Amino acid sequence: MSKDITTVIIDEHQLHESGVWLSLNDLCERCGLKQTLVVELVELGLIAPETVTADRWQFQVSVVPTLHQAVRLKRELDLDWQGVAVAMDLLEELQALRQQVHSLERQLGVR
Amino acid sequence: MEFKDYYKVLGVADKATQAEVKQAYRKLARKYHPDVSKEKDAEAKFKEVGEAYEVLSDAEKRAEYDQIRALRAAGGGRHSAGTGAGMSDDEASRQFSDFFRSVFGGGMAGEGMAGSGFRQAGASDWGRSFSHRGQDMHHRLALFLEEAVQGVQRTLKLDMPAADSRGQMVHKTKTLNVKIPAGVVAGQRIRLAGQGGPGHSGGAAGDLFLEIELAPHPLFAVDGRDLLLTLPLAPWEAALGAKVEVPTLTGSVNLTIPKGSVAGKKLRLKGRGLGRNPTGDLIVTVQVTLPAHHSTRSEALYRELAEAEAGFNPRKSLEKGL
Repeated sequence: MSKDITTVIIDEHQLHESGVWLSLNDLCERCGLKQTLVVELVELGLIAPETVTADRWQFQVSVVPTLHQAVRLKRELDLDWQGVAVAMDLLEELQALRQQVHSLERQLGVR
Repeated sequence: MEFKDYYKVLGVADKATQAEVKQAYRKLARKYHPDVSKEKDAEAKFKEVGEAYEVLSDAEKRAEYDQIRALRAAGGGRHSAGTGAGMSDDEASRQFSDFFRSVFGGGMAGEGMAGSGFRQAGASDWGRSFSHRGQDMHHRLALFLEEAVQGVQRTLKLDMPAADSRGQMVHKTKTLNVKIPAGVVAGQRIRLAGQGGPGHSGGAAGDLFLEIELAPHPLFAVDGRDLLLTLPLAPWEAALGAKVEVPTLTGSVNLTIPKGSVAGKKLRLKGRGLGRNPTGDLIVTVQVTLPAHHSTRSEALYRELAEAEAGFNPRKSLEKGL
């Protein structure tokens, strides 16, 4: 185990980072996925591109962790892509509901 | 070194068929998958289950493991080290236990997938040979609401897969001091360019994505950028109006309660929430509460009040349904 320490200062602009875009090619290369697969995942609604022209897509860099999670779920739970899409939708909904329950509990003074 | 009983980990019998092993693994993987499970130690359990499956689903590894297990049962105790079965970097990055490494070797980088077909499912889509760019990494970071509002410095210890000079996969602990500015919100992903896994053959390092989570707060609940607070009032404060001190994440403020504030009424404190551009609000919901015990005098006053308000029917809304 070797160690190195790096200090990273995040400036406020990075919190609103919408300027970093990836082309379909860049995204595929970065995530190690085939183009046909990324197109399929877009069709399934797992990620959404910005359409620059009819045949050119751009993706926010923040879709990268989403794709990583999708690939992980597929591989580790042996799901098909449709199943991954359902699982991710449900996970998102679950998180929103947990937050809502927590918020309502606070308001009711349950906890 | 702790011996790992992989049969016990998966909850299968010694003679379990491949189908039974796979079935047990699937069930436990779903239960403990870190993306799904909220159980404590889910990640450690998931890794353990994955490791057990890695061994028991592979006939060769299983045979070798069975021998060690049998020796141990016979009182042998020690097991041989390092047969050096080839693994892909992907598998190596899943951090096998010391026990696994001592038996099956420590993760060679390479193309040869020694694992099961199941593990390879999707692997063809998940390329490993063409990109020299480092791996993108993802780290969840839980902050207190106060830290999200004021900004904070955190030290992160990240386990990074890396190849050493001989191309062996090793794990390095990377320590990162991260200064997070004020104004982050739950679910926000912050990209730290070049702070992910190191690149290979001169390739650029991957990015590190920090995903912000907000820890539950004893007073405030979170709704997007808004903070929610329940404000208990005495009946007379609600009826007559009052000026009360209300906590916010950035210090107390005096809030004017309008006359006749019924329970459930919402009051908005602009800009006392989370995030920047725009900052959310603190939404205060009125709750009317009573002292646990009333004095004789208070009871008399309530009786007087009851007479004065005889025309008021607090359950009018219930009658509609009758």
